[in-house]
Amino acid sequence: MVARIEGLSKYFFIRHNRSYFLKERAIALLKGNFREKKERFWALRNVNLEVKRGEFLGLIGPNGSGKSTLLKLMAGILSPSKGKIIIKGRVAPIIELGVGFEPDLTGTENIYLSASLYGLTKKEIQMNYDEIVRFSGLEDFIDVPIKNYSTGMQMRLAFSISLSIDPDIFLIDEILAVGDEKFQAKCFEKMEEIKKKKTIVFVSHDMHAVKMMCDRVCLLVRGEILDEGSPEKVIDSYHKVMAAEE
Amino acid sequence: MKELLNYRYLLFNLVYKEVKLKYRGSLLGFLWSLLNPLSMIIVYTVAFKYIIRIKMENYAIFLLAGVLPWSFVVNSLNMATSCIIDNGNLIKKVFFPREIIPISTVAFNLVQLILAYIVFLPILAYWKGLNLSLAFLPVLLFLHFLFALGLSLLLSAVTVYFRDIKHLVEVLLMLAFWVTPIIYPLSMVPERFHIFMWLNPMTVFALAYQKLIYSGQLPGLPSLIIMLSWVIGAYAIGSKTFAWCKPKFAEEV
Repeated sequence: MVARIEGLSKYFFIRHNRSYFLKERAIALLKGNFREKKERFWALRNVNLEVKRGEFLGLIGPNGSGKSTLLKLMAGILSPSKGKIIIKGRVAPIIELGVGFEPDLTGTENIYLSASLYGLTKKEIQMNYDEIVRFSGLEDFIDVPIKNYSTGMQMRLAFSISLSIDPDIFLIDEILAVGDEKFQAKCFEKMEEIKKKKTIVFVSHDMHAVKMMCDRVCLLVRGEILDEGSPEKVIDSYHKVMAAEE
Repeated sequence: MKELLNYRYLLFNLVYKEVKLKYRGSLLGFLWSLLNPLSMIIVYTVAFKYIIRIKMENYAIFLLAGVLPWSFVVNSLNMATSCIIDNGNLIKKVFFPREIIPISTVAFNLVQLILAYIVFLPILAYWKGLNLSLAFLPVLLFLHFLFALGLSLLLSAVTVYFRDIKHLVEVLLMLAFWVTPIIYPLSMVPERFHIFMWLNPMTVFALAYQKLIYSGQLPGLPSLIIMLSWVIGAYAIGSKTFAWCKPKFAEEV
């Protein structure tokens, strides 16, 4: 077991008249409605999940079903409203597009900035630098400011940096859609390799990729786990849910 | 604390990024960091030596002794109020100790102050000669850094919830400049107002810099004790408030 999630719930406040300014608050107070109108929106309800070492877990579900919220909770960016998350080992940051990239800095400078954001020391980054550049295939553009990169190139750099962190759990949020076919193939190949010793939690709408890569799949609908099990079975119930919603 | 140590390279990179981006695209680049204080020093010297002749020996030095650290605090606090909100993109996506952001803001301004001293101290040496008490300057800078950091932690955290604070701080700092003995010596203030002057935490710092740089003396033990209490107080309140506010940053920015 590498991660256990017990009775996890998360709500956000939806504020209809959020006032960040003191004046607005004061006026609201004078009018007698100091309490903001806010509703609780439950993004996740009582989620129980166990992830085993070396598992490739897929998370699927319609938009707004809580998949990204779950990843953010696992990564420690959000704190749970109820329940708990127990994680053994180092969690990689959610692999997303261009986190912490500074458009005016070069590729090299961004590698150092972004990798240090993930907690790597200077030595660790220097050791991995060549490998990061090689995997991204951006050798010719590494001294160019990131603002001149295409979206796909930025994503390649981001993914290459994440690989160098060497965590126990990878959290991947719908990222591979951006790269070209060649880079996608390279990523899938790399993930097959990672899979042998690491745990991966993979959010995707690409059912083909989910079926191909995942050992086990969870279906999230409106913040609850509706089904879990083998990819074929869960993808089937996902299609049923989508059909029922129409 | 241990976690912060692991992220010290991030701190370095964030400060480096600010310094680098501040002068991006300009021809002289980093040199501006030195030219800026230099021009200020020249303007003050010319103005107060030849035009506005104040009856005080070496008034320009007195003024610079107070103004340089004052700008450090003002710039730190003004940047601190918006630093969490400005870095919302990072906070929403990556887990790292949130304290790094205000720390890097204050550290960036400390670097600016040190660069100003690199320009100012040789000029001071030329005018007045250097005094051994200047060896105390790093200690004073460190205490001042912790004081500014405490306030910055407090302000950066509460501004996430009350955005007015940014504007409030700007106004208050403008006022504070005039009630801190920077452009006038404390001795010019009537005795009965001294108690109010001392209630202002900036006073004890301003006086220490003036003593060190203008008079060439070490600050006395009482003022060191007062200074330390402000530092500990500001840091304790700031770090407590920040720790209390930070779990919700990712939802509020």
